[in-house]
This record gives sequence, C-alpha cells and structure tokens, in this order.
Amino acid sequence: MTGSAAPTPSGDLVAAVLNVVRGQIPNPEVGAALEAETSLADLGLDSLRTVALLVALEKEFALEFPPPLITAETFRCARTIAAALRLSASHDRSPDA
Amino acid sequence: MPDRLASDTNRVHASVARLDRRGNAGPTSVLSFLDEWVAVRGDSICLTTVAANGMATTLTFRELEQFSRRLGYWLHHEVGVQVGDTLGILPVNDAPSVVAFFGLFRAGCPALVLNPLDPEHRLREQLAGVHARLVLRGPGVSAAVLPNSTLIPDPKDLPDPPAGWSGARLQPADDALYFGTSGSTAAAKLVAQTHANAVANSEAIRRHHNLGPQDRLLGCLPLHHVNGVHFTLFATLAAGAHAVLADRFNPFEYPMLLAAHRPTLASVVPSILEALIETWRAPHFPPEFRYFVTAAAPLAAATARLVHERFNVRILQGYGLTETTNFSTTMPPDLTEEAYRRLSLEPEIPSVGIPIPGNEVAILNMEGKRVEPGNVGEICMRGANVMSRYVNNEAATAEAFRGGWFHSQDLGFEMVEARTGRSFFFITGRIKNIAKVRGESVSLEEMEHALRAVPGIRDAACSARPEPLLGEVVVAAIVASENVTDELVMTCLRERFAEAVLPNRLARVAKIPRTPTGKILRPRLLTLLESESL
Repeated sequence: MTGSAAPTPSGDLVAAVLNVVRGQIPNPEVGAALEAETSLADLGLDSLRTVALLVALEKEFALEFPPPLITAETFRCARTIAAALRLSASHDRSPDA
Repeated sequence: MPDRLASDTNRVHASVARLDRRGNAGPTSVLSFLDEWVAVRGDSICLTTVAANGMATTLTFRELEQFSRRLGYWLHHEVGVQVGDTLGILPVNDAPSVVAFFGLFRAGCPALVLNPLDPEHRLREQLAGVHARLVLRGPGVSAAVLPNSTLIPDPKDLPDPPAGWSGARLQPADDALYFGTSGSTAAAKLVAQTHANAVANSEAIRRHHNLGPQDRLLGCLPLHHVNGVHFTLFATLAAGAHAVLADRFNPFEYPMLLAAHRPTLASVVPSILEALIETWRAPHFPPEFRYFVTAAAPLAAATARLVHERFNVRILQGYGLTETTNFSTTMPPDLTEEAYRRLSLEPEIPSVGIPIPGNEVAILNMEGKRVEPGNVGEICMRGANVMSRYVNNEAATAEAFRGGWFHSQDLGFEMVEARTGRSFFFITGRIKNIAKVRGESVSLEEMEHALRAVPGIRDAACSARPEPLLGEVVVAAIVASENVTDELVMTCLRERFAEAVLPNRLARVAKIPRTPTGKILRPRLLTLLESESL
C-alpha cells in the first residue's frame, strides 16, 4: 500500500501500477509484455475494463482520483496513471479533500 | 417464403389489434415515418452522429430521405441488386451506416445485420443462412473484417435517382431485417423481423415514452444490436424526434455528450450505468433530461439505487428479445416517487415494467397455462412485435410459438398494482443457457460445442458468472490433455466468437458433471467451478 504516505519513488510506483494493470488485461501473455509507456488501449483495455482498472487502482492505493484526473489521458499508459496517482495522493491530503 | 408458416404463427400475431394511428393508410415501413416527417418538418435535424474524436455530423429529415433514395438507387443501378435480394450489413455508428439501413429498405432488400467485431467464420455462417448476395460495410469497418464486402459510399457523393424512380413497393409483411440470436441451442438462429414488426415496435415506444419532435435521444449502443437500430433510430424517427448517436460508449466523454447535446432520454445498458457511477463524480444533467432507458441485461438493484442517490435521475428498465423485435415491456414514465421506489429501488430485482402498446405478456407454466400473479413461470409474449419466424428453421419457429405464444425461455412473475390495475413484470432467471456479456447474449451450448471441437479437449462445459461492469462473463471447464495450452484453446475460440465474449477463465477439471443421459448438471458445474477458483 502506498496510500497517503510520503511520495513513493516513481520507479516503485510505476511498477506497482503495472502490477494492477496486468490484473485487468484479458490476455496474460499480452500482460507480460506490458511496460510503462505501452498504450493500454492497444492491449485490449476497452472502456469497461478501463473503468474496472480505475476501481482496482483506487482500492490498491486506498485513494480516490479527483474528478479532473478521471480522463482518457490518465489511463493512456502505466506512467500516466502513476503521475495521476501522485497528484491524487496529494489531493487526498488537502484539508478539504 | 416456404419457412414462413408455422401452425401457431397467426395466433402469435393476431391477438392484438393493429396499431394504427393514421386511419386506414397505416405506415408500411419505417420509411413511411420518414416521408411523413419530411412533409411536416423536413429541415429539422433528425440525426446527429458523433465520431470518436467528438466531431458531429447532422442530417435533416429531408437529407436522410434524399440520401436513402440515392443509396437505394445506387444499390439497384451501380451494385446491381434486385428488389427482394438479401444483403448483409456491417454497420458502425456513423451517418453512412444509418443511411444504408434506409437505403436498403428503399431498394426493397432485406438485410442481415452483422456485428463487425465477430470473426469472419461466424459472419460467413450467418450470411450463408440467408443466402446474402453481398455485404455492405460502414466506413469505420476495416475491409479485413470481411474481404469482398462493399464499402457504403458517402451518400453526399452519389447522384440523385432520376425523376420517376420510386424504389421498391414494400408490404408490411415483407422481411426487413435479420439478426443472429443466441438461444439455448448450439447453432445460432436467425430472427426474421418484418417491416410491420419495425413499425409496431417504433410506434409502441413512441407511445410508451410519449416521444415527440421536442425529444432528443442519446444512443451509444451499436447499430448491429436491435436496441441500437430499433430504439435509437426507428422509434425516434416515428416520433419526429432527434437521435444523437455516439460512435460508442466512452465513460470519459459521455458527460460531455450529455452537456453538448442535451438529450431528453438516453438509451443505455446496465454496464454503462455502472461505469458512470464509478467515473462521473461531479454529475450534472441538462434540465431537459427525463430518464435513462436500460435494457439488454438485468439491472442490478444496487445500480438503480446508486444512480438514484448520486445522479438523482430515474432509470426505466425495459425488456425484450430480438425475437420480439426490441422491447416487450418498459417501466412507465409516469410513476409517482413512491411507486418508483417500490418497483425500481426497493426490490432486489427491479421491475422491467408493463407491456408496451400492441404487446401482450403472460407468465405461463409448463403446461402453457397462465399462473397467478406472484408465481414464477416462463415469460411469454404475443402481438405486433413478435418476429415473423426463425429463418429456414420451421421446427425452431414452431417450438418457440407453441400454444400461440412466443416463449422467451426467461423466467419471471407478474405483480398487479392495486391502485392502477397495471401488471408489472419481474425477471427472476432463465431456462436458456446463455451468458449476457456487456448486453450481448452468448450461447453457452455453442461455446461448449466449439470447445469440444478443439483437438485434445475431451469434454467441456461453460457457465455464466456475474462480473461487475460486464454483467456476466463466461467461465469454461475443460477436460483436456496437458499439451492443450490455454493459448491454443483461445485461438480456436477466436475463430468463432468475438474477443469480448471469450471465457474469462479456463478451469481444468477431471470430469464434467453430467446426468446418466449426458446432460450437463449445470448447478453442479457451478459448484465445481466455484471450488476451482479458490
């Protein structure tokens, strides 16, 4: 769990994201080839699986994405997700979050 | 048509008086609606298609009429088809595909509606069932989906037919559309819907929702699905309303579509609502928005409640099969807050509503007798929406129409509301062995058949398991030698099934539980698969 702890080193966070993403890729062999910059849409992650990924990420990292980050761009690849998670973690710590 | 007359066909259709809102000269096809609205409000917009990049294309009633004539003429004079030839269509949610449906009707060509995501093998099997002469594909469909298919031209580039060309003279009883359906049998059946079916369904939807020219319906379900074509296109046309057709459902773009196009109604499936609950965290509906209409898969009570709590809008659940054209029942729009709570939010199974005009729904027991309200039986329908037949399958038609009712193979009960005397229906289960994945029906028996054909698989059985967002997924149990890899099995299945409906999991078991006569013991299979997943 990364949660609302201090910012995680980016490499670890991306690796953690990759693990969650692999769980949502329908074909395990395709999932094995996944890297930080791999386009998730190209791996067969359609709109409903992307939503399932969003739910899985929020559960794994115990936070909520703020609405402005719930976009197609956030879910483009593992790196963009990790970036959004970092922003979401700081958002969650703000007093009125 | 030699396969048209089954003994109970007339009883299935004749029980309800014809819907006829315009005196004797009722509409013969949905083209009659188009022609009427052209006369009344030809320059109003009847269709907006929204591409994946957000670009919108609009057509007025007059343009749709003109373009459909161009396409019909093109089919006759450039493509060389004749009135009565059957064609296939691979539509996507774009303007040329929409125009093509109407162009096919103008040309008098019944069309088999195909899913562009299906593998070629499956498409060819269905096409062979109707002896299709050729297949039209929408601009968004790659030629690789079906080599030798014909690209639908942009109607803007086609010439107008010469004066005096009027296209085919359609009869209400003529076949309009064919759809593949996944019932309980291994072989998929083809449903034949007539022009009268399409007219009756659109007219019933128009009346049920009291749709009129002031309405805008936001649709994003695919046009190869009965709901996409009959509800989004034909019913809005019957009402002189405006259909907004999105390329597909995209949870990130959907709120913007609602804001930009300000629909009064939106047609969805439960998966879409579940996705929106997760993604749309600052919901805001345009003031004109009346409600969502959901069908194609069961609406979970939790989804209905969450939509109510977070979005503060209603969902009207409907129910129908390809065999009943599109809708048989829908929740009424005029419910009081108390009645909506009692029928949609509080029960564990939200109601699918009341029969829409022109349809009769009954709960029958095994002997074909009506059961008392509250008792579970098979949901059966008769009336104007019931298909004409299964194509070239008299035995299946006779079986489905036995006793003068169409047998849905779904289970449910009826509840009569004391105050209004209206009968509300609830669906509790099904007799047929299907899974509903993302609103698409998948025949478990057909998949079992395909699995058993894989070299090295000795036996196989499939089960439907609930899955958040997708509705259900297929889980397969196989008895196979060790050298049969998952990859090999999936490759074989890909030849016959669309990627989206492939099994989520292949469980290796020692034996498939069967009765002494070889029938799969499905409840035991479920237990077996549950223990396997631990």
